[in-house]
Amino acid sequence: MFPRRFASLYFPNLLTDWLVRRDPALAEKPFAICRTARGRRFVFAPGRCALESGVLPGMSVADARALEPELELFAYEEDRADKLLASMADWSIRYTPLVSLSPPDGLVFDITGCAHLLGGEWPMLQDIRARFGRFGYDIRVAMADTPGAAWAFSRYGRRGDAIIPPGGQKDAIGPLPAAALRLDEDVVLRLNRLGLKSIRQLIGLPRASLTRRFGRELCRRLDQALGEAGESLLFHRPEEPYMERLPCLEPVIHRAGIDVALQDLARRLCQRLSREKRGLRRACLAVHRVDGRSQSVEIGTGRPTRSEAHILRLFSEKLGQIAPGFGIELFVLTAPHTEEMTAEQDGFLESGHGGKDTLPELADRLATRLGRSNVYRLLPRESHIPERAVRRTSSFDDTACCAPWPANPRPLHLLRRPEPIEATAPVPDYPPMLFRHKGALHRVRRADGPERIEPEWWRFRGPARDYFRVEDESGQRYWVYRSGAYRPGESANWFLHGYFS
Amino acid sequence: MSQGISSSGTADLNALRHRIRRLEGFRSEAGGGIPSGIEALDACLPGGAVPTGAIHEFLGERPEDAAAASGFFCALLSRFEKKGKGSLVWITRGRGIYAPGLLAYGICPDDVLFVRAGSDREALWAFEESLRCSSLAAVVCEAGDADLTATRRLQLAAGKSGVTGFFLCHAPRNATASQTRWRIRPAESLSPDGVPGPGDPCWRVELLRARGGRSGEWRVVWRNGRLSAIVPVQTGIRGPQVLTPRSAFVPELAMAG
Repeated sequence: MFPRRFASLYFPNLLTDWLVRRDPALAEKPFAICRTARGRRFVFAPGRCALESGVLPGMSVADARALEPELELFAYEEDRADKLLASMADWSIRYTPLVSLSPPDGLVFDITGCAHLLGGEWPMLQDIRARFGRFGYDIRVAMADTPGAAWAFSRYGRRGDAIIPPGGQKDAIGPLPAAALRLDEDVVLRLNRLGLKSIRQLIGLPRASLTRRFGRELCRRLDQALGEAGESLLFHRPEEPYMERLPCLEPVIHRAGIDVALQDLARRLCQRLSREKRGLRRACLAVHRVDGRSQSVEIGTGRPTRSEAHILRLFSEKLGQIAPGFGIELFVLTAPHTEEMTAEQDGFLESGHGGKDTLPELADRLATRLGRSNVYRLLPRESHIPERAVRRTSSFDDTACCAPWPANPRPLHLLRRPEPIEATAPVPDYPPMLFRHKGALHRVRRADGPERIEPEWWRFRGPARDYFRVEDESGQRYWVYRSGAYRPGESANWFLHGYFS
Repeated sequence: MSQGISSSGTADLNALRHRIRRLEGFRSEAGGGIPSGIEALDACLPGGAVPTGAIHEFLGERPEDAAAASGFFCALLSRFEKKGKGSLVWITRGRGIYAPGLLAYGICPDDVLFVRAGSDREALWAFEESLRCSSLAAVVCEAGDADLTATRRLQLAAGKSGVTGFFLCHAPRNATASQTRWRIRPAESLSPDGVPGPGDPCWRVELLRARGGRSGEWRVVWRNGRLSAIVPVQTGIRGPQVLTPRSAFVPELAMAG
């Protein structure tokens, strides 16, 4: 039987390397990732420049700033490292199908039977190193018979990279410190106090007394590193994309054929979605023609859905755009955006209630043709400026949380842009006596106001507006305002802003 | 004998009316509609109420008239909403409805789905699609114009689903197949007890055409969350008699005092 082989990858500066990769300008600047614990902010991971000027992990932010006044700080994100490792694991499928995450900053590959594909273990190691290096990550790689030994060497090995030959782990890890056994900090501390600094010293000691003093964990880890006890790794499973393919033996050239193909694909996709309790928000149908061209149409929904009928209906709007040409030989339906969806939502969205169509489904259909930005709900926004007091949302789950609707009377029709009018007011602060709008003269019979609305100083500076509700002699009701306070010698600017019903 | 005619005669008459209405293409099972709250106005409408599952057309060439028409059908809609049937779709074209203005009519803007159409064609398509969605209470569409064929399609869609459509027409040119046609003009508002400033909104409501009904004109006020007719003070006529033929109606004169 083949001996199993493992590779351990260690990224000493995972998070800082990632920041530099995201923003290359950071490479030349001192920066650090900081964390807060017990009300104290401390440096979690300094960048390369910061490290050179003496900023060390665990230092308080104030001390670090004293050393390096230019220090740029980034907040530590709890799940960033895990996300990064997961995406690296997805990428690492090129080396082996069995990739395991070893948080907080490493990966373990099961490379049994994989290394020869790249010409052996050493070329494979070089390749891993070179490719991750090109992404900008510091990396140390070690290969051994056991995950434990590979892990120990990648982190504590003398040289950066190492390949421990089959069966050689006992000699190899002997000189390494006890911490290389993946132990708890306090166990390592106690071992050090007793002078047990290297693994070699531990190997020689009787197991029973070791277990009594340090717990079972120490012996288990030791056995795992030496290959005397098995270790089960939890391998990362890459997310399977929501994609259904339908190759056609005979090229499809008719709409009826396209409909049938789409039905088939949608049924398969919806079955998978309902198995995994998810719903799609976006779906894309790509058709590949015999002449090598491909076209695609896309739909979106306001709420996650897995209703086959609904998806088909949304697509039927768009299928007209597909030109089959000499025939379509492959249909691919993908759902690039899916969300979790509970069973209740399913029932709510299903158009099964006696053939009744629900409002979200209608909104999706309208949005497919008119564009998602043209189908919306209006919710209040915390602003007194009339044109800003309303915000649009295309989601049905969005609710007005904090802002109330304005309490003062508001017109039913608001002009998108206020129109200037010529108005005459008897006294500066009074409502207008008469005004002229688009050549028509309106004599004001009744008026109410002013309602003063100040501009939002944090957005722009401008004059305040004094709004009046006015009614002319034929009963037409307007919302007009005077822009700015009255100044002697200057004519006031009046605007028409809306029509009351 | 006369008694026999009156009891069975009314039943016959009703059955006959029902049949005629069916022939005219009304959904008989819709059961009429929702009364507007104005007796005189309801008396002119078929079935004594604003029919549901039908298209009501409002003319609003000028922005002032459009706002008045919006106000009037919002007042009607508030009665629809009270029935708790569901939400509202509002299709606009250019002239934007201002959501906070709906609050005055007891309509919560959160329950309204707004649709902005780029052309009349799109607006009418969205109108028809929405009318087919039977879980809605009503659909409002503002568009430039619609022809006979388009409105007939709308009328059929509304009749089938029972959703009421309000069509605000900015530039009416064509004859349409809508069930009723109205023109609403703003009228001098009424303030209670002579409080200065614009009071409760009033309109001159003109029912130009109603299939299976009569036309008429009234002055209507929206006060305390309900519609009511304004009784012309000087004529002294009260109650349902306010219904006056269009020629004999003198609203401006009546309100002058």
